Amino acid sequence: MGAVVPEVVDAVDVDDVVARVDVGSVVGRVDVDGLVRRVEINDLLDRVDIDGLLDRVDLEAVLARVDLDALLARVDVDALLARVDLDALLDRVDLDALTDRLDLEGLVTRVRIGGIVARGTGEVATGTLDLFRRQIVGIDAVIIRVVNRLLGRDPDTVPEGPAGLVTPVEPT
Amino acid sequence: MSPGRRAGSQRGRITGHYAGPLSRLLAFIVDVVVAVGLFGILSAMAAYVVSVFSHSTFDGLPRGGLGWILLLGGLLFLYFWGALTLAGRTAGKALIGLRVVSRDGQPLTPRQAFVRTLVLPVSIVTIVGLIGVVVGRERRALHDVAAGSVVVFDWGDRPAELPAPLTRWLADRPEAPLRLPDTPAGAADARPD
Repeated sequence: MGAVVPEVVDAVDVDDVVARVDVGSVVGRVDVDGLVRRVEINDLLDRVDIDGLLDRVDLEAVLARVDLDALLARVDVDALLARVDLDALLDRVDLDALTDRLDLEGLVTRVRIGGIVARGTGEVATGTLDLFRRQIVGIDAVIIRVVNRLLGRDPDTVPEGPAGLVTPVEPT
Repeated sequence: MSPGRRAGSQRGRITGHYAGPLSRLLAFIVDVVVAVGLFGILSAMAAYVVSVFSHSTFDGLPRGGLGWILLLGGLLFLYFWGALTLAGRTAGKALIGLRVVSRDGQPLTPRQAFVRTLVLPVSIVTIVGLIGVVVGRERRALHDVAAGSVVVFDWGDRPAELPAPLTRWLADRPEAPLRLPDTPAGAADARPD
């Protein structure tokens, strides 16, 4: 029997046999889900050389196909930031080292502290001057009002200023 | 001085309105101080230069002498005329927030500035020439009448304003209510008076 089998096998035209098989119906009879359930995925993955697999992937080409704008549009940045523990993050930052790397002199030069101080001082001086002017103008207004009343003038007939500088106000 | 009419607590804007007597008096005092101070500095510099070149001590012209008066008068004239011609205002007027313009509001011409400066001493000496600043409808002094000029409030790039409390008080006067311009309420209230 053992000697006959090889001869029989040799006599069979495997290609002809395969050509006669309806592969579609054979596959249709296979319980793929059951087959998959019998596969130990973890063992399978353990046998996969991930590094080798990744070496064969052209990441640049993959990334080139990614629409980053669309991807980022789908990201809820607020929710993402809400999950960040800033205290823990800052604890990990060496602020001293970071400060040492800062060009503070250059920063001060660029900020022009002198300009800011000068502008602030100028605003204070301007405000003080206007305050002083308002008091004088107020006294003038009272003087003129008193004079107009003493002279019996109708205030509506007294011009406020040159026609080119003051728009006449319609009486209400 | 009865600008604008509107309720509320904003400040009445008076840019371009005829200036009152106190403003003009203070501006004139500042101008005299500045001009005389300038004269003192210039005369001291001149005395120093003369003493250096003449190798002798020169104390300047005798104070109160004719030459001293002419020089001081000349400097005052140049100070007022030059400032009014170039800027429409002297240092004192700029500090108080005044500007000299023609009666129609146009800038002062050099000729008007010249006449105004020339007649100014007459107004001051006679005193009578200044009465118009108080009682005149356009508050013009004699030198203003001669030059065809008026003095108005002008704080440069900022609006000339009345104090907010006075604005409110004047606006509430039934006999002659203050007319307030269209200014955004609140903006004016933020600053103290």
